[in-house]
Amino acid sequence: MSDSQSTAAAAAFAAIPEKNLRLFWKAYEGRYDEVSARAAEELLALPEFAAFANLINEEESAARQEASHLRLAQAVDTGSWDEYAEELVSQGEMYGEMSISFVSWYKAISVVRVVVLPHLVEAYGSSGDDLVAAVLGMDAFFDVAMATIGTSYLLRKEATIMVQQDAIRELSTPVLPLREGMLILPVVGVVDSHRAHQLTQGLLEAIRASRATVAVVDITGVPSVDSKVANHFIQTVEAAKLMGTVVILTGLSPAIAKALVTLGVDLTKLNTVGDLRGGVEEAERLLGYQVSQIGA
Amino acid sequence: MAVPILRQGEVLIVTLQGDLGDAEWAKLTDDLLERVAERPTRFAVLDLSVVDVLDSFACRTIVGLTRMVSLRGPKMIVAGIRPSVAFAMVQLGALLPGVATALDLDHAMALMAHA
Amino acid sequence: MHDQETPVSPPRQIAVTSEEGIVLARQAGREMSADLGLSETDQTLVATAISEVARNIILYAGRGVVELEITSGTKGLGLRIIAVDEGPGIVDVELAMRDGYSTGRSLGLGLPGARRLMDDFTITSEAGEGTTVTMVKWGGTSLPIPRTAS
Repeated sequence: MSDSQSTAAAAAFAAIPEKNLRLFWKAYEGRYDEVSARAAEELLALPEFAAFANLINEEESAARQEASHLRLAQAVDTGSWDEYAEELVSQGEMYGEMSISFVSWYKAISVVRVVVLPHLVEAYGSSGDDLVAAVLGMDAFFDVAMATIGTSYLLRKEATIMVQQDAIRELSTPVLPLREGMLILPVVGVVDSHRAHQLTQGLLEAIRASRATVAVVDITGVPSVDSKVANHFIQTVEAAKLMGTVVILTGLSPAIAKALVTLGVDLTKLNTVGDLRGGVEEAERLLGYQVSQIGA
Repeated sequence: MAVPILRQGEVLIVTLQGDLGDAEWAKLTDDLLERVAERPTRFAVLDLSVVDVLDSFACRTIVGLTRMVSLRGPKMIVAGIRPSVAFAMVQLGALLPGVATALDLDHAMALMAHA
Repeated sequence: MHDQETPVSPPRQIAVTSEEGIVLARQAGREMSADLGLSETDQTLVATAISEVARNIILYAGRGVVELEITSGTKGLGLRIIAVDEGPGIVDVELAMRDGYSTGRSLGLGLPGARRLMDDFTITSEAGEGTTVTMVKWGGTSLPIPRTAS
């Protein structure tokens, strides 16, 4: 992914009119360190970045800046932008991973433009044409640079969000102890084999920890219940039973129940009640009577 | 090492100390049936809270033991099956049909109190 | 972290010649799974599966060997169990592997059950040639340091 990104970016940089770029760079290069220092200051002033401030190693930072400087100088000189483009892509990825807001880093880096401009005026003020060319060069350069960092940032951020969402989905759904002896497990989302096993294990652990004797498992939020999923829930019921706990399944619509029965699923193994409320009431009833399981 | 069987009035409590081999299960069965016959016994509790594995043989033995005990009068309760063991049993397909279960010894006592 | 020179836990072989061997084999399985960093549930699944195949050896061949070894593959680290016997073999492996538990009858062969518990499972058997069951549980997170002799 970053390969095609940096290739596109390199091409965009190479497309900047050479004269404009060189004029801009000539003025910028002389002040490079100073400008970079100002930009770094701006970044660190961001509260989002402040957390990382402590982790910055001064020497490493200086070395990286020096390397960046050389890369940019070489790119301008040779017209070959691959390496510099790659560096920008990495920078964007870093911001994406750090969850820094788009606005924040954009503003921080934009400060470079503000700092460089007076130097361009200073260098080319006397020649109107050169000044315009240098400013055009600066604009083009920063446009490509910001776009490169921005695209990379967004792609990485999206990827990070997806990973987070997967992780959240994989977490056991929350198990709620409603009152002494009762657990409620609302299941929301797609249930595949892997998740079903996780749910079962999570429920069994919760039963042990909260010492529940009745658990209400609500599957209203499960979009589809085929025979495979139904069998997973049957297994959950059976495993809980081995621990002495009754599981009441709620949220299984009569239509789906009928379909499952025709598929050969033995629903008598499932204690099904229409909705969650009904399930909780049934659970209360069971707890109130302290149903004895003795007597085979 | 024999599995300890404690009597509390009309209740026998069998506490497994760990993983049992076939011969040990056989001895446990003999011992328990003997103790059941000694004095009036209403309940026998099999405490599995320390057991970390129950294979199909162990499950068949428990089912058989439950039947044999109940034929002689007392009701049997199996208590303390661990979450990971319960999960494995269900995956294996080795269930305990007809066997009363309880979360732990305390719950087993509560069950008995209300029977 | 282990440096390069630290040897990985070597494979363990447990001779299964009596029902005591079943217990030894499954306890070894639990130890090695725990060393590998498998979850409590996975450790139990491994121990149970080993118990089933080891019992199978005793019931149908009288004697055999269960070998346990750490393995690594695209799924990371895992525990591979190879149960070998030179018994009469299984004439119809497919029939033997068919799930019988839904009929409510107790399983003579714990093989279908063991397969459900493990991630990878293969069985080769020929009449008169014995049986080899190979099964793997993946999900290991740490390389075990060899245990000191106990």
